[in-house]
Amino acid sequence: MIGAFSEAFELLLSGDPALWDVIFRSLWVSSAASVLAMVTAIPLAVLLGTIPFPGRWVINTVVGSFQAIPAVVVGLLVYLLLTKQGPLGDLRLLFTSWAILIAQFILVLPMAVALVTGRMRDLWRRFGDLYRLDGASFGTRMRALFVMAPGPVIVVGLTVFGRAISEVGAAIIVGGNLEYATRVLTTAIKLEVEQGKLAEALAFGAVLLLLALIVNLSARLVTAVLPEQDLERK
Amino acid sequence: MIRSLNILLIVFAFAAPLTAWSEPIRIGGTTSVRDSGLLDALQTAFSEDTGRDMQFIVGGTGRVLKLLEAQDVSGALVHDTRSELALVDGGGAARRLDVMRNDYIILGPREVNVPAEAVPLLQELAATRLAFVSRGDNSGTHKAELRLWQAAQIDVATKAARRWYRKSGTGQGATLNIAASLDAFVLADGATWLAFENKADLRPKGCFGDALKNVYGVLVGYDDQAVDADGALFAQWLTGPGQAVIAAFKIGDMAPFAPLSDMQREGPMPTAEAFCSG
Repeated sequence: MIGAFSEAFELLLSGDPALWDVIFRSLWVSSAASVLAMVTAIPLAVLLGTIPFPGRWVINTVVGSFQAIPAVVVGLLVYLLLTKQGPLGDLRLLFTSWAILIAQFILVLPMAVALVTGRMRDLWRRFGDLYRLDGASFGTRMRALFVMAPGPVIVVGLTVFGRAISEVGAAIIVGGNLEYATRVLTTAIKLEVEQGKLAEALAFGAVLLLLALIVNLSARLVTAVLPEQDLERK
Repeated sequence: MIRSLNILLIVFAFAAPLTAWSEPIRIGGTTSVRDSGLLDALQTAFSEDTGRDMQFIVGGTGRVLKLLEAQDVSGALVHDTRSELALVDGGGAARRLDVMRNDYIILGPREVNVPAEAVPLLQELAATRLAFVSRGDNSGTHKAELRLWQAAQIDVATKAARRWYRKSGTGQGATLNIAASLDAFVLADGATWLAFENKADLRPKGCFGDALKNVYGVLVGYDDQAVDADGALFAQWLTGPGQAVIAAFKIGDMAPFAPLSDMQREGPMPTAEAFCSG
């Protein structure tokens, strides 16, 4: 294990272009998917978290269940969408990084909606009355979320990113694990195992673990610097 | 938020031309071609000769033929002649040409002594219930393995066989890893075995027999109704100038692939003797 980590560092320091290509792609695809998922999820979460309407629990239950969808299933669905004879086949996106981005976006969206909705509901339960005095518009509610709880929103973003960058099932089906085109950290690990190069696979795994560590530390830092606000303190 | 979005858009703008809008030739192929390293040699020579980049989507023969039929790849380099011809007959591919041989070997634990002929070897496995790991994934190698059992007149689908016959349902490398850790026998193509780096106590045990013959073919797909031009270009290159690349490809001092343009289709490959004696 320790040998693998030192080998991982050696690999990183050696400046192997193939390794950095894989790391860079993993980072940009998964962060783009996460940012897009958050941008989509936040307005939905503000609606779901602050407006009581009949049947809201149904939507919440569906969103909650979709959090458990396996990455391979998402990969399969996106494959069927993007295959040449599929509904979006003309876009020629299959086996490109865009396909992985789309799959990861779909994969993490339910998680993003559920987690932000939870934050928003808490917030609204505590401070909703104060905001409602001014006749809270949708924009006001959005602003409330960002003013009162910027830290938690960023932490959700980081959690979502962690899920996106660590999935392998979708990336392998819709990306195809093409070197210098669609190979990401997890599919690279799978490939090394397939070739019996277990040490190299562990080295890639160590890189992934290192990224997870950085993400976790950032989340802690964000929580420390931007704690959830109390209205009294403002 | 806005700022980070801006940065992201810039990253997109640079990354996009590298990924989505260049149009390389997409070929489906089996793991053995990639894992042996032959793929790298073919890719380099192909783009030198034709000026086109080639991307290789890797999977078992069954999956690759499905990709070809769905027109998600332009051509395929696979190794199950029977299902290749069936696809051409069924209208899923335009044509098929012979490319090369890379015969199978049966691997097993170093210390176990078994016949070097494939069929008697399998019969002994079944009689003594020595463990065997099957790909079980509808790949070309899996189908070849099933034909081997048929030739040995052994039914591996029985309940009794479950005690020693295991299906991994994964690729060649993963299956070799499993066999290595279970001290089991396993079928693999010679090239993948040579390049495989976790050999552990596995050694070539069965190297002879007609049923170990492993022929690769190239298929040209369709682009809507027309013959796929990219696939045709690749097939033409592979059966022409590509043959020299295949012949020159070596792992250590062994040449695991034999181009079919300059060798007979019958008889054992020169590598068979080297595997079972070394």
